[in-house]
Amino acid sequence: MSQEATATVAVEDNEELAQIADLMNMRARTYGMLARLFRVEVDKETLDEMRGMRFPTATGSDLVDAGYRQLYTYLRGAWEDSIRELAVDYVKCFIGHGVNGYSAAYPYESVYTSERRLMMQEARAEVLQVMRDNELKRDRWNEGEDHIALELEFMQRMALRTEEDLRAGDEDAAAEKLETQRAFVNDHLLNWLPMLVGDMQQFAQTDFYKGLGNLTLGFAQQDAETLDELLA
Amino acid sequence: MPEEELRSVFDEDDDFDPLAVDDSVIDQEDMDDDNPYDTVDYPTMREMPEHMQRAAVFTPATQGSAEAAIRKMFDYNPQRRPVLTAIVELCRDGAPTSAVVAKVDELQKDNYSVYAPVTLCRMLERAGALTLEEPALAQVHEDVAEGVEYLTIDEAPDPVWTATAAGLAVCADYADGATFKRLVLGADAAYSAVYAAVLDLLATGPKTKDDIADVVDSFPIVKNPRRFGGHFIDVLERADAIAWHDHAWCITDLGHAMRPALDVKEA
Repeated sequence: MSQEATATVAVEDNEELAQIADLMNMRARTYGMLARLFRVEVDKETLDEMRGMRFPTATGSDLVDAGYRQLYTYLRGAWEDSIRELAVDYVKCFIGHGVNGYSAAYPYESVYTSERRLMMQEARAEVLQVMRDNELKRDRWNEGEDHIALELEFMQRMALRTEEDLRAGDEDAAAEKLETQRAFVNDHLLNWLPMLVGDMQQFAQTDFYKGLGNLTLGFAQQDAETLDELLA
Repeated sequence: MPEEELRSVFDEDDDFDPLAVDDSVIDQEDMDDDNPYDTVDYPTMREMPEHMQRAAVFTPATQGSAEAAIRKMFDYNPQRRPVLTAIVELCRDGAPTSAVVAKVDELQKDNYSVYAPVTLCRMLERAGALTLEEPALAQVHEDVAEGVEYLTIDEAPDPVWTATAAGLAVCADYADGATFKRLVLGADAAYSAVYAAVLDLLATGPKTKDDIADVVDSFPIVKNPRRFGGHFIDVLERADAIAWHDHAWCITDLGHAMRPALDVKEA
C-alpha cells in the first residue's frame, strides 16, 4: 500500500473512532439523564432543563418514541405545581405505602429477581462485584447498588470511559469496556427492566413517569443492539 | 391501664421470643404462604376501607360555606395568614402563578415556610378563596435537525389565579382588624394599656423580645396572674398588628391603624 493510501486509511480510521466516541458521549448523556430521573424527585432546575430538550419522534424504537412522546405531553403542560405533582408521583410510583412488596414499582433489581421480592439479594451482590471490578463504588447515596439509578449511572460511567479510550486511540481498552457494558445491559438491565417498567405503568399517575419507564426500556434495548453491532 | 385490661389486649404467649428468629438466616426457599414471616397478606393503605378515609378539612363541603372554610383555615394557620391574605389580595383581578410565586417568596423571606407558594394557592383553592384557570398546553412545535425530527416546547404555561368573592370578603374582615378587635379589644381588654405600650414601643422602631418583655414587666397587672412578654407578642402577631422582620419585631400598618382604638378602650 502506498504511503498516501496508508495515510487515507488512517484518517478514515480516526474519523470512525471519533464518530464512535461521539456516540459514546451521546449514550452517556442519555444514561445520565435517565439515572438522574430515577435517583430523586424532579426539581425546578431539572424540570426547566427538560422543557428545553428536543424530543425525537422517529428513533426506530416504538418504546423510545412512545416514552419521548409521553414525556413531551406531560412537559408541554408543566408549570410551577408540576414539581409537587411529580414529587407525589415519584413516591406513589417507586416507594408506595404498603409493606407487602407489591405496592410500588420498587426500583431494585433484587426485588424483581428474588423469589420473595426482597431487597439486597443476589442481584445486588452481583452488581456490587461488577462495580468493584471496574473500580467504582457508591458514594454517600444510601441505596443498594442494584437500584436502577445506579445501574444506569454505571452504564454512563463506562460509556464515558470508552469515549476517553477512543479519543486516546486505545481501541483494545475501548472494546474491553464495551464488552463489560454489553454483559451488564443483558445480564442486569434487560433482565428486570421489562418488569419494572410494567409496574411503573400501573403505579405512576402521570405521563412523565410512564414515559420515563418506556423510554428507559426502549433505550436499553436499542443500546444492547448498538453494542452488539459495535462488537460484531 | 389496669393489668386485667392489658391481659385482654395482649395474648400472652410464654413461648414468644422476638429474638428467636435471626433475619439473616431466613431462607427464601423456605418462605411460603403459611410462613409467619411472609408479609404478603399485610394490610396496606391502598386497601384502607372507604369509611376510614378522610376528606380535606378546610373545604366548603366540610365547613358549610366557603367563608367558613377560609376563616377557619386562617385561624388555624396564624403564621401563614399574612401570606395567605396577601395572595388573595394579589389575585383580586387575577394574577399569573409567576407573580404569586415572586410575591410569596418576598413575603416569606423572614418567615420561612415548608409550604411552596403553589401549595398555599392550592390550600386557598380548596377552601374556596381562589380559582385556577387551567393552563393551556403549549403549541406542538415540530423541528428537524440533522435529518432527525424533534418536538420542542417553546413557552411555559403560567396559569392565572383569581380571588373569589368569599375570599375577598374574609380578607377584608382581617384588613379591618377583625382579629385585633376580637383578641386585643375583646378577650384581652383588661390589658389595653400594656398592648398600647408595646405598640408605642414598636412604633419607634424594630425591637427584640427582651425589649418588649421589659415594657410589659413594668405593668403591675401582668404580675398576677403572670403574663409574660411572649403572650403579648403572640396575641399581637395573631392579630396581624406586629410582624417579624430582620430578626426583630416590627409594627404593621394594621397595628398603626388599630393603635388609637386602645386609647378609647383605656378611657
